[in-house]
Amino acid sequence: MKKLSLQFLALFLAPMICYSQVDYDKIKKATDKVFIKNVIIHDKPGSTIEYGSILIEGGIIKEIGKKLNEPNDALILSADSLHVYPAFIDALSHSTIKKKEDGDRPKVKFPGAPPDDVAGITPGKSAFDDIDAESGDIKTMRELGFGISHIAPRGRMLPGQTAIVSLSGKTKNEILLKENVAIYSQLRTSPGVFPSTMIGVLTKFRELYKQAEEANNYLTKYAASPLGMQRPAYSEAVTSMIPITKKKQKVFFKAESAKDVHRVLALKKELGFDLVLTDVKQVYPVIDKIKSSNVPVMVSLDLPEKPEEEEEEEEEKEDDKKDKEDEEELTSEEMKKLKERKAKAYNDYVSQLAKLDEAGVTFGFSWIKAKPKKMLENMQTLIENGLSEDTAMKGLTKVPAQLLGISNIVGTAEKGKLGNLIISTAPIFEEDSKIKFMIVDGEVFEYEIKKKKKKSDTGEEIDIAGTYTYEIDQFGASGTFVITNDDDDYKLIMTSADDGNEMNAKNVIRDGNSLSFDLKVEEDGFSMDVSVGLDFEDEDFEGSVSTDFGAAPIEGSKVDPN
Amino acid sequence: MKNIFLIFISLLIFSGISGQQSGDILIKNGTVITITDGIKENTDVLIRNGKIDQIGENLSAGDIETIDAEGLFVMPGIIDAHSHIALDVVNEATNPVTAEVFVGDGLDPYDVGIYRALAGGVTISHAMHGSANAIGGQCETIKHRYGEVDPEAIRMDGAPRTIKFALGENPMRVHGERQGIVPATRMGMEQIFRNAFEEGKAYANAQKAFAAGKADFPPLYNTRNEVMADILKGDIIIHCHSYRADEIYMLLKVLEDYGVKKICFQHVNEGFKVAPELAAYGAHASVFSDWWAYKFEVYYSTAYNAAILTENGVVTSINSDSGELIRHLYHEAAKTQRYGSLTDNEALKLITLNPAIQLGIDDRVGSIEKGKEGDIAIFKNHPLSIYAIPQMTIVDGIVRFDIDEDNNDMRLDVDPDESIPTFYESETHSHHGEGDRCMQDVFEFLNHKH
Repeated sequence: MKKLSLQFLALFLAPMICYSQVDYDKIKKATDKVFIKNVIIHDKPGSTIEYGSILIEGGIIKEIGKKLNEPNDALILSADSLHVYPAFIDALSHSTIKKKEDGDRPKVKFPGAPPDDVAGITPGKSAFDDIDAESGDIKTMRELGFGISHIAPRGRMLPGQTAIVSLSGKTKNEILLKENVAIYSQLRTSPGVFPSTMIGVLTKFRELYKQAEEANNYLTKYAASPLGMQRPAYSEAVTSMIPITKKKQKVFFKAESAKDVHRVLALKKELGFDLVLTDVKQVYPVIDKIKSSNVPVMVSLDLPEKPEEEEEEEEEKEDDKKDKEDEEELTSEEMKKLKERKAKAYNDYVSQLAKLDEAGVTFGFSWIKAKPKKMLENMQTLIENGLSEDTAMKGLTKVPAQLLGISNIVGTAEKGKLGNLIISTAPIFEEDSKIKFMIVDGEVFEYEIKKKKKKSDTGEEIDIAGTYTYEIDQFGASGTFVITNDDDDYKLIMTSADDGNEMNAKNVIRDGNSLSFDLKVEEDGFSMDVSVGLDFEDEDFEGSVSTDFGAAPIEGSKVDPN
Repeated sequence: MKNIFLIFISLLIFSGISGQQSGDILIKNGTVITITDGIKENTDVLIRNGKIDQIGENLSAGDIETIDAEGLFVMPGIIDAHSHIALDVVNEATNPVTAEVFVGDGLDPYDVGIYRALAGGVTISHAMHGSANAIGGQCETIKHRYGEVDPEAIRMDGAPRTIKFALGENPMRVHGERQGIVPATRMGMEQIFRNAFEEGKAYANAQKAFAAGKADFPPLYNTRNEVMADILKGDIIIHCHSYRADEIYMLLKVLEDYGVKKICFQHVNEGFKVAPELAAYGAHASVFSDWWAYKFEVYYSTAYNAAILTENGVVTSINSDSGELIRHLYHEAAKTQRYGSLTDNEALKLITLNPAIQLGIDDRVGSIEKGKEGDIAIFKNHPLSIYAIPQMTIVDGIVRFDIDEDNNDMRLDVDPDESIPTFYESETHSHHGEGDRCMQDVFEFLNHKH
């Protein structure tokens, strides 16, 4: 069942642009030269070569500039007046790594002293072991403009060693650029055993770190002369931490909230390792602290949902109620203030990266929590709120390249670097910009540009019957809907991806390309009405799930019947 | 010369990082309850750079914030020796001994509970680990600098280290009953303490041997034994959750065997039975005024406990252990006048100077004296009166609560994605008024975790 839901997830993540039928792979076999001509080259943030050309040979940029001679033995990409960018670099994600089941945790006799792997302490484990080169994530990331991913294993406090891979279509061994790049850590606890709390995690990290310092000292002496010394008996977890104590490896430490940023910075200050703050979502309260710490920071593009605007209707209602009891008036006043605070908090989030930039902090983007699929949409929101496009671009290219020690091969479009390029129909962060070609590691991928049909354009009713996957991000829920249409009598069956429970919707009403229905949820003697409204467009839908206590967004897409 | 330069630099770094704010303020014409030097009518208190600079009549201090306290009572900020506010984590309940964990790693400066405590005149609280384990984690003494969002900014820098111990039913239930491991009985409790001290002692001895050149390597670094060794050294004050007299006496004997002097018993409902023994050992007691019978070991209790302990010469305080009680510790202290006839000053000491002594910070706070920190609570009506209303609470010379500026929503952190689960909304728009519980089921349903 779990596998099935992952497949659904992959389908759900499939972008609206699809592969074309052009098979460049065949051509590539005849030549490993690619010539891109007459394009606007954004070779690095803030720099442009108008109507230039690029020659890639063997995956390397051989020539870049104006007035290059067109070779007669190259694959020519007719990319007239398209825009070329260095491909994005994912500063850290779990791309291609499957989520682990939580259900089957082994029973341990002494919860206070569990085996390291049960405790989530596997700093020696390589992400490469878990990387799945067949995973749809590679295709998805590439379609979004990424050429390289820095991948961390999934897990708890110390999941293991990261790896850098190329997002080409090659085999597992071929895509690996670098293994054991850094250690990934997070304040994630291990339910039921030590460390079961965040304070336990911090304590355990300290202990392992200090033991690693001692182990290094012991092992060095032992290696020099073991005579008279006991055989070293350090755990693998401890010896795997030695490189970070010697600053030979960085620690990418996930710190989503401002509080966690404080905690992780305090730990770094105490122990002295090379820290990269990772996946920081709540930046605005800690801008000064991050700046003064001089620690590199990878921010999350996981933005909050924009709060709904105050509806005018409600204000009218307020007028009607004027002669009602004071208490009710006060309460609606209170509600208004709460909504204002929410709106302000939203603005704090969407304007925080502009402020971080203003403070002079360079930052990149990591994708542990944020969905790459939402990148362009969220980046546009940030740009609307003051983030400069150059800074955004740097964060997606130069900054991660430097941080990962690969800026000599990627991060900018320069002669001699890898020809990892995005070719888009318009400046990359513009709303209508679409990626036409991706070149990764010498391989060319072409995408068919589909025009989004707007409802207002056609007004045409689409056939919404079929099977869809859905996701309610806020609840971490997913599954499928089966919508049937029997002569305009619509029925909907909802199936959870997790346990396969089915539920028949009531009051299924179609209006234009919208569908609304109700569900009655009964659980442990409680019952609750949930109403759902969906707007369909092409093969996707978006909408909201409403309960008495608030609404959550829902989205999904049609499952290919074949 | 180089050394002086280094010291100067380190001072700069220290002051820059700690960022603990302080201010100047002049409180005019109040009735000043000093705790250590009687009550002074129509008296001014001047705080400069966060410290009490002068106490006297007709003080002037130029252009600084001035508060008219005429007709009001000015007392030292209330100190709560037992609370769990401002913490993201309270219990690491996976082991009977978790001396290694430290709740100071999980401070939550955003907790609105800090503000609520300020609204009850409380300026300092002892943020404690829970009582799931025989030896729980280390605790943190915090200053209620509400408004600061860096966890570092609410620590009381320089306050002595403290640790939570716990006797009786809680650790026996969590570990003995649920996990089937020691301690399942009160005998097992004693053994847990003795084992932990023995291990700490052996660890400290191995470290000493290494330091003296008698061993080639130190013992493998162990956070738990580091802390146990520090307790044995006297560097950490034990605060022990306790109810029954027999167990309290047991722990005294264990501590005596290991030469550990610094101990404050918490709750200590049967403290009145062993008050002379506690006094003789120099042990302290931090009690509830009149809260008991919430589990079997807490039935034999009396509201005279604080008074009996006080009369026997035990340094006694009244604590909250609750985000609600912390808002009216002055009422809790007043109950000792009904049950035990303590004097005003004795009763107020229970929530000011005495908890300061128990936390090892009485040289800095707990009374209004020149040179002490500018932590002040200002009341309308005498703080022990049933009509007492806190008006303003000052921490290090900065006003952190002012009843005139007390808005409905004093949260520091707002999640833009949150639904707004107001009581009003859940009561009026819900079909069955189940509020949060119901939402929980929705989440569960949508997650299908059953």
